[in-house]
Amino acid sequence: MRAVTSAGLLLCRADREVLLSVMGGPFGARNDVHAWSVPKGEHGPLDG
Amino acid sequence: MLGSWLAEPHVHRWWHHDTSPEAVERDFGPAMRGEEPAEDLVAEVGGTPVGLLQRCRWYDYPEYVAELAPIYEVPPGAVTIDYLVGRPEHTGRGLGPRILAAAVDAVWKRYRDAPAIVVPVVATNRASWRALERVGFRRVAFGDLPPDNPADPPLSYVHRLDRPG
Repeated sequence: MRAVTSAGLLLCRADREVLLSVMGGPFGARNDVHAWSVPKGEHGPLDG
Repeated sequence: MLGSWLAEPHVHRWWHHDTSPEAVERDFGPAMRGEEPAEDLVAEVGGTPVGLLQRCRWYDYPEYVAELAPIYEVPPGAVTIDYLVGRPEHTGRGLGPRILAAAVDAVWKRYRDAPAIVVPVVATNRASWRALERVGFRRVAFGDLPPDNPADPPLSYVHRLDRPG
């Protein structure tokens, strides 16, 4: 539960940027979490 | 993770997606491998994966254009997006509009000739279309479309955001 609370607080910080990364390359849908960290993408501004 | 997100009740309620590994591979694998015009992206905040963003040009999928045609004519070059916030504890924090704002900016950069982003949303998914409105989309049409979840009524809203300037 503690980790969940920390993540929530983290997300509430307005200065945190939303990062969008294109999934792809040699990773597939079955590669679970590792597929989500392929840094091929672009940064998007956070305006919320 | 993608399968677990799709299985979350607040996601499954709308996406109504088969969350078996085979179905996830079938439906997301080709885009991940670059075999589809559509792109799948993960949204992270502070290093934490929080959501999925899909984007594509409408006319790369003519069947979608045809489906929407009775209620709205998609302009040439327009892009559409789909999105979800994966974990229930990450919902209700304004994260959807933040992801959408980043997504919009990224679409303008990725698709240099796209004049607009056009997004149909089932009318009952108020959180979704409200998030679109919060980042500047306006409702341009409404009508019946096949809902992702057959339990939903078919009434859908079409939202559009034009490229600035």
